[in-house]
Amino acid sequence: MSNANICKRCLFCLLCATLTTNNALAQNTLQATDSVYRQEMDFGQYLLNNQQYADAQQVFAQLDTALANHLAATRTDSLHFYQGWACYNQKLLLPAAEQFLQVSGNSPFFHASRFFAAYNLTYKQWYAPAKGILTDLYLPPSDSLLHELQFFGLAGIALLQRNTQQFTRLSEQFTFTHYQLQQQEQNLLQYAESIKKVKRRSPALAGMLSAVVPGLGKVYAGKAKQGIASFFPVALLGLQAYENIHKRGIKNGFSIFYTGLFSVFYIGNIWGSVLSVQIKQQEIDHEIDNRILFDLHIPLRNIFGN
Amino acid sequence: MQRFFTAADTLMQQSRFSDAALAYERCVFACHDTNPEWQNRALLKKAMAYKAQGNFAQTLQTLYRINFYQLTDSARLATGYEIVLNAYLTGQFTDAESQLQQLAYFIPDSATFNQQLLFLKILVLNELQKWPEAKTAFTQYLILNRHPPELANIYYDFMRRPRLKNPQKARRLSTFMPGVGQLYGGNVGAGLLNLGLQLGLLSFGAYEIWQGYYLTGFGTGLALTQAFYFGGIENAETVTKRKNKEKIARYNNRIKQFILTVEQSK
Repeated sequence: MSNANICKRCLFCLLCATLTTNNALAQNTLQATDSVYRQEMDFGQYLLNNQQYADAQQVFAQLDTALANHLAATRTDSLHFYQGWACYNQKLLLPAAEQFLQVSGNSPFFHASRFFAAYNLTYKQWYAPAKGILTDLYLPPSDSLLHELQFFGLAGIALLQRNTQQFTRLSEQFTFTHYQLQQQEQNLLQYAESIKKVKRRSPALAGMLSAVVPGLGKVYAGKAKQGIASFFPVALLGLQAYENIHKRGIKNGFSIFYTGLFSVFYIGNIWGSVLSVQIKQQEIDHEIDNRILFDLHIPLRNIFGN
Repeated sequence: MQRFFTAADTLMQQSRFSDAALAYERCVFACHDTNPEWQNRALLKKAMAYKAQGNFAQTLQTLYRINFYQLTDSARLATGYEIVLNAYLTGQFTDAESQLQQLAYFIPDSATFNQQLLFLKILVLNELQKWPEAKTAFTQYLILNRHPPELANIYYDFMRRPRLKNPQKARRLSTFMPGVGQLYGGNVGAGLLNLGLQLGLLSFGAYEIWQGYYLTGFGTGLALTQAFYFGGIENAETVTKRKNKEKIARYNNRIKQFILTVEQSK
């Protein structure tokens, strides 16, 4: 055998040996990554089951940082979903939505992630992105439950935005055939009715009414007890101011004191009546919003589990 | 398993208590349902990590996860001590007392119990205002630590005249005579101020009515007097309760200081 042939044969052997070593190393790294992933995911899920959500979030975040570039797409998806779940349970709704939105379409957690992300954004009053998520969501045509849930979510957002026309259009799609959201669909329709029945009061009129009869503006705003309670001190101060001006003269110290005090209370009451219209409206809106959000949440837990 | 414990112990030594707590939870998970003894050990250490952070509520919550029935006597005593201590530190005195009663059942050796837990029992009973029981325990504690038992009479002297006032009685007194409820509760300033204000307003009202200014007399004098009158009744109860709290803290603090000095010198 010539020298050249020997050299070629040695190089071939060396190449083969290098390739084999590299393969073995890659195999070992893969196995190690796999083992770490399984171990940490099990631990994270154990923490979630034991309601140690902050610790679970830390475990998933560390795993994400350590193995982000070495994980298969499905595993990254699971990791994002569980991170989102840990955040969601700590009421960290925006970070939760951020994690949920990173779950890709191939994941079995995809639909749950999208619906929960939309809910979290809705809760935070980010209505436009929440609506976008639900509208863009591709659902298998055969899955009538998820389609219904999609309409239900969109209808809920429309109601939160007080867009009654859009709500009516979306609620026409309700079939009331899925027990998981049947009751909540009926509730949304009820809330829409009560929103329609709420009378919009005029702050200016409330102010004017209180200028005529102290406290009447608050009664008009829907705060009858407050109205009656504010009538007496203003009326009493007015009577005292009148008595002092009438008997002691307008330049007397008592007259000035009582007139000043009466004026402050009288004007304050008018201003308070103007504000009470807005406060009452906010209270009503807040109460209805809370009920809607509560009802939007229940089907998610019913369908995607706890 | 051992490597998990080593890693957690290292974090603990490095004062990274939050990470150590999580590392000990990993130990709990690793021996979940397989080795209860190690699991209890990990939980106790996790509790100590929280305790080192001053998070006594979390410490207590972790300690409650320990399975008491699978502990040795010494481990049971150590765990029980931590439970009582942390319940005391978080202000859960009733829980601390019930834990002490359980421990007395679990540890029939009264000498060991007294050595480790008697001082905590006194502190807990003091906070619950069970002073006769606390005094008995304190006498026992003094004897155990070679102090004259007569000291108990000095430290619990307040029991003869506890000076704690009944908030309901303060309320009743202020109903019949404004300001007297506050004076009875030991709040001389509040009592005199209340009495002065009401007398002043009443006099103003009466004077104005006498002068023929009926609306001013009724509207300012009498209306404000009645407002201060009803407010004064509420105030009498509140200030009496607050004063009682201060007195209880003062009585207990003297004993607490003595116990701490003795325990530190051990």
